Amino acid sequence: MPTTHNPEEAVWIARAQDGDDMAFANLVDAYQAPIFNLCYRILGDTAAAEDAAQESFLKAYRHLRRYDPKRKFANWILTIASNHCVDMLRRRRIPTQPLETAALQGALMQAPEAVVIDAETSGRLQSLIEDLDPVDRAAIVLHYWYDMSLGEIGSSLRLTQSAVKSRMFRARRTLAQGWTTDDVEEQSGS
Amino acid sequence: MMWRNKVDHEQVKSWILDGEAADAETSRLAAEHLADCGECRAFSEQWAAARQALETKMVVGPEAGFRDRWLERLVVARRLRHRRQTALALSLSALGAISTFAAMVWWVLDAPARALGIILSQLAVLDVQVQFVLDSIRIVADILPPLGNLGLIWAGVALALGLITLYTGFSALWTASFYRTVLQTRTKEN
Repeated sequence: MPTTHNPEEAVWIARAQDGDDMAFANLVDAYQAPIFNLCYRILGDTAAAEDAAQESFLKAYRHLRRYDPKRKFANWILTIASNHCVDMLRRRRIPTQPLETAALQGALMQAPEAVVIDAETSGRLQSLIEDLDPVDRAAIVLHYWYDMSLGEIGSSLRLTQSAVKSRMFRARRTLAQGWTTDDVEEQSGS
Repeated sequence: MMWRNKVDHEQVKSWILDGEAADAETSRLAAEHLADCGECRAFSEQWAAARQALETKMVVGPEAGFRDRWLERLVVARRLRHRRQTALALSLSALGAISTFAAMVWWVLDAPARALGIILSQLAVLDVQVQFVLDSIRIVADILPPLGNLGLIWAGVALALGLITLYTGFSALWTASFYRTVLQTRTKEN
């Protein structure tokens, strides 16, 4: 996941700020997987994730002049995408699809057996994530998938650090309670 | 049971979920509690399994061609935006014209005599202005006596040219601004 600073990135950003569509398309190329994954984890549906990821990139391009180069571009665009997904969830109910399909069509670079096992675990985890409040979902995904600190999550989701901490605590409790003993045995057996 | 006096289930569960490095005394109390409490032990195992699944960070990627789909969407989004801008500009112009007309109608109907008086006084002022311009032309013609009637003609031509330049300049500025806001971006999109 490209969360580190790419040497070409600054050039692409500068050219994109001058209206070069192809320069921004390079950024889309570089960040499509993490942004799509974030949207999928929050929305739980591949079609909605595709739409949200595309819209997030459009928003980012439209507001690129507001981007502060001192900040990591990855965090900036993840912030846009997570807020967009939270707004989508608040505006309407998004139907979910069977998770195996989505997990298998994704970029899981593993052996076929491992993919099946991981797809099951991923599906179970995803269904538990979908039980969380939209903002809690975003916080959990940003923390565990993108290694964001509580402070970074707070600034992304416009929350105080203590609010993030309490939301994370609530989300972890829900996930732990939802992960039944059968799941634990199955997971340790596999 | 001694441990029940020291820590309760909620306290232990919150230590488990916080995952922060506890001091030696807290760890000892938690270990003692977990050794005796099946409920908290199960909770701890469930959270450990859920956390393991979270930390696997399985990434779901978009279908191939995401960048091309984004570029297509960018073109459509721009077209829609320009259409909206043009529609807004036309609506505002129409609204302005209708409001002006309505205000005039209301003004005349509200107090026809007063309105007529003002219109006549405006015409009188206009007449004075026209008179002033004609006098100015005559003065210029007098200053240039050798030219006679020709001077009067030249002064009229100069005034006409001045007015034409003024209107052309205004029209050019308006066209340039229209070109920048609507036509230029539309050309870029194509």
